[in-house]
Amino acid sequence: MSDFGASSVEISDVTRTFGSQRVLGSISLSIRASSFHCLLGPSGCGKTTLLRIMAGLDTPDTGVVTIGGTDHSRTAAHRRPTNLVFQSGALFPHLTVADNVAFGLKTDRRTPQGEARSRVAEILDLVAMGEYADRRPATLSGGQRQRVAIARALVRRPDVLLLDEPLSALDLALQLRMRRELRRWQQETGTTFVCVTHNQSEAMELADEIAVMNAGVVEQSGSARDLYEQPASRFVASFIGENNIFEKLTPMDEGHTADGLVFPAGRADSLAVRPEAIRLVPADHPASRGPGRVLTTSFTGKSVRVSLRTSTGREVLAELAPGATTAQAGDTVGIDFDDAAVRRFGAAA
Amino acid sequence: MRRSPALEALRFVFLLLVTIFVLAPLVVVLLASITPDEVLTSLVPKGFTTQWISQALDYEPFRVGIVYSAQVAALATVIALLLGTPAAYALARTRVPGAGLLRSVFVAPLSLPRVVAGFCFFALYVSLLPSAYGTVGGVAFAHVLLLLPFVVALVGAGLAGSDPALEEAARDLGASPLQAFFKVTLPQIRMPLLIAGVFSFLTSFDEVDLSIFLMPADTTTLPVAIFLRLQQDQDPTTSAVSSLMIVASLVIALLTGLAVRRAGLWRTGRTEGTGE
Ligand SMILES: Nc1ncnc2c1ncn2[C@@H]1O[C@H](COP(=O)(O)OP(=O)(O)OP(=O)(O)O)[C@@H](O)[C@H]1O
Ligand SMILES: [Mg+2]
Repeated sequence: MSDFGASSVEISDVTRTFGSQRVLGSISLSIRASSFHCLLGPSGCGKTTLLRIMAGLDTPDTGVVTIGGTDHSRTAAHRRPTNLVFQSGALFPHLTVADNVAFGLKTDRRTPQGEARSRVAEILDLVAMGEYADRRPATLSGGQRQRVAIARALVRRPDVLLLDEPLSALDLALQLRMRRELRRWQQETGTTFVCVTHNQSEAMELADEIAVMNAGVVEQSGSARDLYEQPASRFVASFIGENNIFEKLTPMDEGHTADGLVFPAGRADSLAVRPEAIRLVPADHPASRGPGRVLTTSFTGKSVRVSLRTSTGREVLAELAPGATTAQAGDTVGIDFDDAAVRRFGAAA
Repeated sequence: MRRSPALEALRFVFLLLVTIFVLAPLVVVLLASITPDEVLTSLVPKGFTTQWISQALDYEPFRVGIVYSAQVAALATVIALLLGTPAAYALARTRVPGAGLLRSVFVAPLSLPRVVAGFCFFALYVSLLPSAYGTVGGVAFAHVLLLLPFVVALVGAGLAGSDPALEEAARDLGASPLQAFFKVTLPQIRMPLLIAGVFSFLTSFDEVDLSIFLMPADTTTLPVAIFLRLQQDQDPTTSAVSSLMIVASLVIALLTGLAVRRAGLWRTGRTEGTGE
């Protein structure tokens, strides 16, 4: 599709305080033009606040928001080259689907009526809502409403489309389908999409790049693969994918130990080992880093998941190829992993 | 829950009594205005006449009064809506300092006895604004004071029930704050506005206590004219004009009710929803 815009977004040192609560503490973030960028973080970490600041619906206390190379920090919402899809949809209940979508074309009088009509039809086709054009929002299902909300924002051909948890109100099957569609709409329009979510699998499936937020700061921004393989903090390691986190590495006679397992020497406040990096060996095997008692095993089809408990009581999850182990609940086995599989956080290694 | 028949009967009797209590004075007045007798002696009409109604419509103070009252009510309603709606909006949406205090200022006129309010306006007009005394504008201005609390409360309740995100969505879609208000917020509160308007009009049309201080006895609003005539003469002409007011009020209330019900259709949510 032609004529759709795409701009980069540059956020530098943005802070926002509500009363005495510091909701955003110095956020800096670069979003490439035409990319699909997810803001991922737990509830209450400030994702919506950051998105509203990009849309111009909220003003930061300090910091600069640059969109497509222009400083838009002080631009009013209705003059920004962005459009926001609200978490609630916020469809106008008194207007039909077609009039909802046409709303943003009528406000800027530059679009001639005939062109507006064909653009509304085009965008409703894109989101497969053409046959509902004359319905009122109240008569649509949740998924249909969300499509209309996206169409209403996209029809304005914004340089940046901002989406606030667009799928969270939908059931899982519909979420999975809409993820693929969102991705397709982003590719067909080439517009920059910035999408807030607290669902890491959604972020990993949708995004070219993910910014992981926690307590008002961006902990790390990168591709799903970067975040998974090279998490920069303990928070990212535990938030992206499953991870076994071990605390307090203490030096011992042979190597260092944490939670009853032997680790290569080095300093760290905490360590992480992915479940799929763990191997089970006989308890008396020389490679064993420490004993683990099997609590449960479960077969998922692609893998066997074994949950173990170390001698200090820490639970460890191992994800093994089917057939890689015969361990049963109650058995004691040796826990093993490569040195390279260990990620360290806190004190410099 | 099972209801005992005795309780049901009691409920029915109670409702009936309340209904009679409310309607009885109206029925008496309606009967008096179509019965040929000068004084109503029985609830069974002894004939039918339009004599009193046409007398009422021929009576000069009533004819002047109807027009006068309609002008005052229309002007007072328009001013009350124009002042009350932005006030309610400011209280509901923006964080004005001292919003609580402002709210009580808007409600304060309710607790002021109307006779006192009337006298205050009388004193004001006589001493400072002699030209306002007895004019449509002067009376309407005083009425606005009575109507504002209702407008602010009704429109405020409507705004509280409408989603502020809709307005933000409108601004995000390129509407200026003013456009967002007119194209999105106003349609959300059109029913509270309609109700506030109708209520204001009827209240102002019907006002005696305050108005009586503000006009000379020869040209008055309709309710004041009724009051003045009743002091000299108790024939059914007064009943007839009252009946006209009752019927007109009922018709207006009915139409408002219909409009609200129709508008309710798109508010009650999913009426023909289809699943995904
Ligand atoms: N207008 C406001 N006034 C006061 N506090 C606010 C306001 N908006 C947000 N907050 C606070 O800021 C914090 C972050 O809110 P925000 O909505 O940005 O979180 P979020 O990451 O979007 O969370 P969720 O995933 O639950 O939507 C919350 O603690 C919230 O209470
Ligand atoms: Mg949010």
